[in-house]
Amino acid sequence: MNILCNIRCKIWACGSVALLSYLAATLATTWVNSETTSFITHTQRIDLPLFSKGVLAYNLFNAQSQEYENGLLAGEQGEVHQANLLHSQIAPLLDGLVQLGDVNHNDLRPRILSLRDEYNNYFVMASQYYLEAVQQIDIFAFRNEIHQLGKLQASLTNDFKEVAGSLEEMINEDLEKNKQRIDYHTRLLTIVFIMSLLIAVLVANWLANREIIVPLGKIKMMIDDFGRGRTIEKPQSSRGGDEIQGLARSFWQMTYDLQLITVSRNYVDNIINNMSDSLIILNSDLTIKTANHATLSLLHFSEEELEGRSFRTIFSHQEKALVDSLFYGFLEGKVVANIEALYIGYDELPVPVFFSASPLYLPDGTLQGISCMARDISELKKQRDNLEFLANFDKLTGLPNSNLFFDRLTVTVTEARRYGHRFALLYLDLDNFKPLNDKYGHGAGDCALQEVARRLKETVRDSDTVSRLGGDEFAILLSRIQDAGEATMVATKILDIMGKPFLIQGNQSILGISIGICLSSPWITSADDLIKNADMAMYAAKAQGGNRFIFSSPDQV
Amino acid sequence: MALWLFAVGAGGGEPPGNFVLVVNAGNDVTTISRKDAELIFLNKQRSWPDGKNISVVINENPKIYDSFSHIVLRRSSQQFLVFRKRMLFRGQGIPPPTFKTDKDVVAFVGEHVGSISYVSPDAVTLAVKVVSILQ
Repeated sequence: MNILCNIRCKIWACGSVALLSYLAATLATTWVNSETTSFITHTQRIDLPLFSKGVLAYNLFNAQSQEYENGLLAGEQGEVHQANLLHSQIAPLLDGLVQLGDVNHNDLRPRILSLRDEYNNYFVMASQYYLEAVQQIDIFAFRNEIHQLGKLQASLTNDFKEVAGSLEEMINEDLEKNKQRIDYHTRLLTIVFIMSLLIAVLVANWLANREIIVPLGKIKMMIDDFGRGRTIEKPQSSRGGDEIQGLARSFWQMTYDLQLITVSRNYVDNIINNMSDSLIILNSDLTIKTANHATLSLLHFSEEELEGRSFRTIFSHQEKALVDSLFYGFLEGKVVANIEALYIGYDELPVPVFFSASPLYLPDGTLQGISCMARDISELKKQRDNLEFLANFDKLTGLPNSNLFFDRLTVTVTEARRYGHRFALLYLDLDNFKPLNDKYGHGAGDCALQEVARRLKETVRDSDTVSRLGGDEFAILLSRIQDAGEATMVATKILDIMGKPFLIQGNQSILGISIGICLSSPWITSADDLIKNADMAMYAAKAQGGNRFIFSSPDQV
Repeated sequence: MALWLFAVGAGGGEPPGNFVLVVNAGNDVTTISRKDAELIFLNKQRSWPDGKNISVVINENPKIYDSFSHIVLRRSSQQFLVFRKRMLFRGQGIPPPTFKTDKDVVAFVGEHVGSISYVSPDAVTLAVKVVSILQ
């Protein structure tokens, strides 16, 4: 069973290590105190009483000696008796010393025993002779005995003094030993406390690191890896894992579930980079944050050249005002979709695109940036221009065809009616085109028609319209003329220029031209009528031999 | 040199001496200072200049005992007695032989070579020699 099965147990384990070290230190202190108490108790029960009894015995013996001396010198029997009475105190003290000396004082015991025996012998003689000497009045009668007693008493005094001194030395030695022992124990306890503290700190730190910090660090790494979009390995599952392992497993499960229900960043990047349309993400300060591969391919920039630059970098200068207006509108939340715009590439060439953009917001509503999508419409635009050209222009001569001419004529009629302008319609038909075509072939005919078109355009103003209506028929719309004279002048110039020979396959040929002119008038209100009248005039001119012009109505001349 | 018999030298306010110091006739000593005499009788000087042991004899003749104690030992006869008792009690030495009469003292000193004592001047015999005390 894993005792570190949860965080509570781990914290308790760290605390228990500290408590165990504290307990060990306490036990060491108790042992040391017990040892010290034992030694002090021995001193108190044995050595100190020994010392006290020794000193007391020495003092009592001195007092006894003094009493004997006083008794002898003064001849007082009472003092000799007093001295004898002191024996009842001295003898038990010496017996007590002998008994106490049995305990661990083998060196002192023989001396105490000897002292006790000598004292007892001395007292037997002293109590006898001193009293007799006092009773005899003349102590010199016992001079030899008293002299011997005197020497014995002096010797005993020295012995008592030496024993008391030895006991004092012993008690001092005991105290000194106890002092040294306490110093030693103090140092020992200090080391034990420091070691216990050190061990507790190291073990608790190791436990905390192994059981808490490292697992949490792994979770942090998992979170960091997840943030970077890396794949997270499933945590090893152990039976009875703690809360941290549970957290790791839950986090992994969350990332796993997220991967299942969301599109991965790689997947999104893959889609963005492989899409055919340009995608540019701008920062909120309208600098380019990133661009997909289609953008780089379209504009021929590298990613590094675009990143951090202004959005204006990719737009044509011609559209600066429009673009500024659009983008500052995006900052206010506006959206555009599929408007035509001109990107500008690295080579300064414009690239027409359909441009769509919308702002991006963070969940809290803060503007994160702008997403700009563009589709290259270069080919589409070319095709559209080509179709437009084909619909409105003559492919051979490049002149507006009948559709465009009719449209312009209609507009001119409308404007003339509204503003009172005058204009003229010239309907032209080549006189000798068919024989030339038959003689030199269609290619020569086409070249002749192109030359006719070029000459006709030279004779009119830029604001006038020259059109090929089909075959060898042309039409000219002279807008805003003052009078019929201007139409006459143009028709004359046309006849002149058309009178010059055409160089066809190395041969010079003359192509005449018949011109019907219809001037605008209040009663001609439609383009069809105008064309009809001009056509009729042209046929009239052709009927008169061609190479001339005729107004549709004599009134118009 | 002021060599006085003690009877002569007892001037300066001291009571007239009625004793003389005597030694064995064979002793070479002829003079002795009072201080030396005091030390000898207090058992603090125990040999003569020639190395022989000094044997002190106490003369308890009441006619001269007090004056000897006062003049030579500078203490009363009772004090001298206590001194000798204490010396005996403490085992510091056996008290010297004591005689009650000059005659016994002279006889003892005459028989013992290193002995010294004090007697009345008229008790001096040829067996002993009077020693002058130098103040």
